[in-house]
Amino acid sequence: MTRTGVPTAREMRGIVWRSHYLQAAWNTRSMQGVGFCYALMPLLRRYAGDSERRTEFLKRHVGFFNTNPVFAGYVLGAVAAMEVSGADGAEIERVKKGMSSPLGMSGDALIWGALRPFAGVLAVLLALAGAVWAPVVMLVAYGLPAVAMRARGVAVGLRSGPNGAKEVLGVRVKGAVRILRGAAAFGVGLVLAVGVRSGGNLEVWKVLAAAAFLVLAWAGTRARVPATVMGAAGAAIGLILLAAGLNGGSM
Amino acid sequence: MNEAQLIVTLALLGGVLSLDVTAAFQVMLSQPIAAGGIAGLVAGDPVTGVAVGGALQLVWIGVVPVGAAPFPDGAVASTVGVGVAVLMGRAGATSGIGVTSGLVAGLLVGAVSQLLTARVRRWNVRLADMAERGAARGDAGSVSRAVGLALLMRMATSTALCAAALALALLLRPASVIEVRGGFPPFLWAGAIAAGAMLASRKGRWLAYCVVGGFAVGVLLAGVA
Repeated sequence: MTRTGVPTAREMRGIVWRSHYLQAAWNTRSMQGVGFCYALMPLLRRYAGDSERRTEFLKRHVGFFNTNPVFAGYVLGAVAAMEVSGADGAEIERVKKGMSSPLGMSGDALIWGALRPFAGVLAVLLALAGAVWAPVVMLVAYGLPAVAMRARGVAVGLRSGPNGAKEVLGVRVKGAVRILRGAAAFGVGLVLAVGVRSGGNLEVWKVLAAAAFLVLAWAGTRARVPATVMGAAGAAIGLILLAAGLNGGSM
Repeated sequence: MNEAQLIVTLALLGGVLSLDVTAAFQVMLSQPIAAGGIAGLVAGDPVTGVAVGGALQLVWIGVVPVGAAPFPDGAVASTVGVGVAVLMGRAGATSGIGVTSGLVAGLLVGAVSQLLTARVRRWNVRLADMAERGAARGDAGSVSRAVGLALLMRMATSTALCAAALALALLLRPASVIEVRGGFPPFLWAGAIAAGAMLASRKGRWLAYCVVGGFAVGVLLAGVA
C-alpha cells in the first residue's frame, strides 16, 4: 500500500469533510477524541494489509483531544502528514498535544469571541432596518470564513506541518479580535438606541433608562448571572413598562 | 398548517438545526437569527421568525459554545420561540406581544436545553467507550457508529424538547389575547442589554465604551431623522 509521500487529494477531501463532525460525539471524558479519529480515518486504507498498524493508529487517535473546531484542521493536516510519512507514534502524540491548546485559545477568541458576535449584531441591525434576508448575511459573514478556515487548516497543516498553524496565532489575530469585538459592541449600542427610539419620541428618561439598564446588566454579568436569565429579566421589565403604558406612543 | 402539524414540523426542524450547535458543521444555522428565520419561513411567517430570532440573537451574543461548560441551544430556543410567537399570533396577539412571548419562551427553553446538553454529553461517554473498545480491536466501524449514534441522539433529544415545549405552549395559550396599546418593543431592550453586558464584561472596559459610542451615535441619528 502507499506508504510514502503526502496524503492524496482524495484523502484530504475526506479529512476536510469529516472534520465537520469533529464534535459529533463530544463527551465529558475524551471531548473531541472520537471525532478526531473519525476525521483521520480516510488514511486507514493505507494500512489495509497491516492490522497492527491499523489498530495502533485507531488507538492513538480515539483518545482525548480538544481544540477550537474551526482551527482543528491545522492539527488534522499536520498529524495526517506525520502519519503518512511514518513518523514515530510518541512524536505524533506530542505534536497533537502541543498544537491543540494554543489553537484552541486563539480560535475561541477569534471565531467564538469576535467573528460570531460581529456577524450576529450585523444581522440584527439589518433586520431592524427592515431586511427580512438578514439571516443570510449572518450565514455568509460567519459561515463562509469558518468553512474556508477548516479546509485551509488541513491543507496548510499537510504542507507545513505544526509550523503552519503560526498563521492563526499571534499579533494579527489579536488585532482582528479587537476590531471585530469593538465593532460588535458598537453595534449593540446602536441596537439599544433603535430600541429607545422606536417607542415614539426621544425623551431624556428613555435614554437614562437605557443607560441604567446597561449598568445593571453589566453588574449582573460580573456576578455571573446567566445570559438567558438576564435576557428574561430584561424582557419582563420591558413587558411591565409596556403594560403600564409608561412609554405612551405607538410602535 | 394546523396547530399539530406546525408543532411536529417545527420540532423536527429544531432537532436538525440543533445538530449545528456543536455536533456537525457549525456554520451557524443554529444561531438564533438564522434558525429563527428558517423556522419563520417554515411556519409561513418569516418576519416574525426574524424578529424573534433577532431578539434572541442579541442574548446569544454572550453565549459561547466552548469547552466543558454547558451552554443553551440557540436552535431549539429560537424554533420554540418562533413557534410560540406564531401560535400567539393565531390567537390574535399583536406582533409586539407575540414576539415578546416568543422571546420569553425561547429563553426558558434555552435554559432547559442547557441541562439537556450536559446530559447528552455525559451519555456520549458511553459511545466514546464503545469507540475506544472498537479501536483496541482495530475496528474502525465502531468509531463511525459512535459518531452516527451521537448525531441521532442529539437530534432526537432536541426534537423531543421542542415538541414538548410547543405542546405545553399550545395548552397554556390564552383563548384570546388582550391587545396592549403600542410602545417600544421590549425584546430589543432585553436583548441589547444582555448582549452589551456580555461583551463589555468579558474583555476590559474599552468594549463598554464601544457600546456607549454606538448608542450615542444611534440616538443622534434618531434625533436627526
